[in-house]
Amino acid sequence: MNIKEELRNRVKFIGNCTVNDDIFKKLVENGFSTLTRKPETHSLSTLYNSKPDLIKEVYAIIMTITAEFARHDLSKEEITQFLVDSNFSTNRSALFVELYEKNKRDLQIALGNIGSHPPHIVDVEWKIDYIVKASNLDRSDGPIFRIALSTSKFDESVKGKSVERVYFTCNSRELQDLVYKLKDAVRHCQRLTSE
Amino acid sequence: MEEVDNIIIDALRNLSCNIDEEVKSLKQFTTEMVFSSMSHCLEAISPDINLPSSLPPSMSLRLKHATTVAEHIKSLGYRGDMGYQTILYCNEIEVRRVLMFLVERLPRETHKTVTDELGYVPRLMKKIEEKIRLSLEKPWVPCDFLKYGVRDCGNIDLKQDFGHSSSLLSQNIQIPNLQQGTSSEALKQYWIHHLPDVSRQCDRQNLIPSLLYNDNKFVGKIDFIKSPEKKEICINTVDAVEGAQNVFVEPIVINNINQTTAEIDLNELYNDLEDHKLKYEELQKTYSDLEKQSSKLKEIRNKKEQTLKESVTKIKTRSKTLAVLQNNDNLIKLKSLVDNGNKRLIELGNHWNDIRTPLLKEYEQLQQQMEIEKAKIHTEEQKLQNIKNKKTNLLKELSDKEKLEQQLVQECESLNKNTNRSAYTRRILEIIGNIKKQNEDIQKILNDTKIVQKDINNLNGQLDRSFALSDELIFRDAKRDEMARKAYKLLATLHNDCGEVVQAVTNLGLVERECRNLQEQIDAELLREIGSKLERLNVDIAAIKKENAELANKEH
Repeated sequence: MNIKEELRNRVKFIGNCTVNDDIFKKLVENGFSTLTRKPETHSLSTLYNSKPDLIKEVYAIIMTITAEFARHDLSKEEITQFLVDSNFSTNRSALFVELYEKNKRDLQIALGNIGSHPPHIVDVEWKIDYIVKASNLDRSDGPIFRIALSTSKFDESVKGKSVERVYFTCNSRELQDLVYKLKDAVRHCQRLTSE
Repeated sequence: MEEVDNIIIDALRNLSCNIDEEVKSLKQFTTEMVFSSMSHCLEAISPDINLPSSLPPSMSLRLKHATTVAEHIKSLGYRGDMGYQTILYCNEIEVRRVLMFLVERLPRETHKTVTDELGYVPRLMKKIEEKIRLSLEKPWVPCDFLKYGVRDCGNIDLKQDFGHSSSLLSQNIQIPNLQQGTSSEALKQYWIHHLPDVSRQCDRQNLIPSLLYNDNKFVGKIDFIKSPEKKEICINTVDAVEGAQNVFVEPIVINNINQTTAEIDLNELYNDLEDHKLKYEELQKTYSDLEKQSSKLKEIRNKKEQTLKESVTKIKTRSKTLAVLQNNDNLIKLKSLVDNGNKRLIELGNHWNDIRTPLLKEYEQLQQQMEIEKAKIHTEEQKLQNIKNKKTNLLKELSDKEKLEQQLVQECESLNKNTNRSAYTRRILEIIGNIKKQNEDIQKILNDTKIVQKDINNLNGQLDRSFALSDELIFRDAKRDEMARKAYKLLATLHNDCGEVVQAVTNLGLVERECRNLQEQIDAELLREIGSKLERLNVDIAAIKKENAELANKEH
């Protein structure tokens, strides 16, 4: 596991700090729900008490290590080991590990939702045109296919999913070619799995 | 039968039934063992079945469990006689038959794919293949039905839609760092009162990248980026700056008014303004100089006043002492006083030395002790460190050893099976050889008996023919001779008697065969040990009756 020395030190500091167990639990719960994009379960400002700066630090560090753990896909035992090495009490590490197990999948989904991806095809609209007569002498063979691929992708301005259409036109030979290419790809995938 | 028993017991041990090392054949099996091995076998054959692994003490419960086990075995297709009695009042042969049937039905061990031993890349390939296979197998589902574009497939999540994936963008977030002792008070105040939580410092979807990566942070000091510390200082200096600005603003405001009223005099006014500014600055300079001078002067004055006061007090004391000294008696008194004082000073000095030396010694001792203790603590710390290192090493070794052990156990199991199989095949071959030999023996005996039969038949024929011949000859003579007639009669009786004797011998043989059959039947019956079984049955019936009575009592 590759965790920076600075972060390690800060986790150790948190392990030692004098935060009430109840508040610590609430902080951990909040951290998990924030990371998995759920609404916060407890209002943070009620947890501040006399040391808002400490609470803020603990909160931030907990979320950071949680994200690190989920990113490295660590198991229960490895986390417990790390937390115990960082001066966490067994109570707290058990609490953390329990919540981690519960939320691991959601966390990893949230992590998986970070990154740039090419647009994903979700639907196709098409129509077949046929040029009956044209002003120029170009001969067009056969029908013309007008295709619109509906693709879904992340829109920065909306901060969510949006559908974008990709238009193109091709004749029957080109379409045949495309279909063969797609079939090739599918066959390749199938061969990968059968081996 | 020994081989069969060995195979069965070996298979049962593989199923982790608790069978003692001493048990070598099915004869030694108790009811308990029979039941537990049958239930283990059934559980291995069909994992859905949940059976108790041992018999309870209560008789009726025993009966119930035994019947369920028997039913399960019947449902597997066992053809022989099967009921609770086969389990509870077992005899060796039936138990052997049932256990052989069960052992044959045991599932062959499926070889688990050992992914742990593979490296990172093959494991990754496996995962990729698995995911592709899943996405090919699963029916299509519109992306809008999926939460965050993720499809739940048991252990694996399939990502089918990337519409929710925001690109990796990290923002600069600030986390209070109380560990650093160097942070200033102002910074702490900023952390306490003004800094929002990390979750509110950036966009929701940018939170995780911002926490994980600090690529927005620049290493080293760059002036154009205001680090949070600097901002804070700005906030604090604002008051001071505002205070200073007020001084400048006023003339500018006036100037503005002038501008609006008389635009023609603009240049003049500007010049004036410049002059005024210069003057103002000069004046301020002189003012500050003067202020400095005045403060200096004030200081000097204060000092002088102090010296004055001191000298006045001195003069007062001097005048007093002079007045005292003018009197002679007083002088003598003073001298004695001074002497006394000197003496006392010496005494006190001695006394002080007396007290001081042991204390100093003690101090030195204590210091030495402290140093020794420090050294001790240091060594202890080193020891502790060593022990910690050892512990981590040992833990590592332990895990390594455990892995090795698992591997060895697996190897051992596979080895065991191989040897078993070869032993079995060897035994089977031996048995086949034995059977061949026996077959040949049987064939020989059959041939012998056939030859004997033939001889008997031949002799019989000869006898018949010779009897017929002699009968004819004697019958011909019998008409003329009295003696011959007698001889004929005797011959007839002899023939009859001999026939009877032969008949008796054959009957004897039949009876003997029958006897042997009966003996065999008796032996078989004896093997079933019906007497002891009946006794056990009686005892069990009594137990059931007792239980029933107890239950009836409870009801009442």
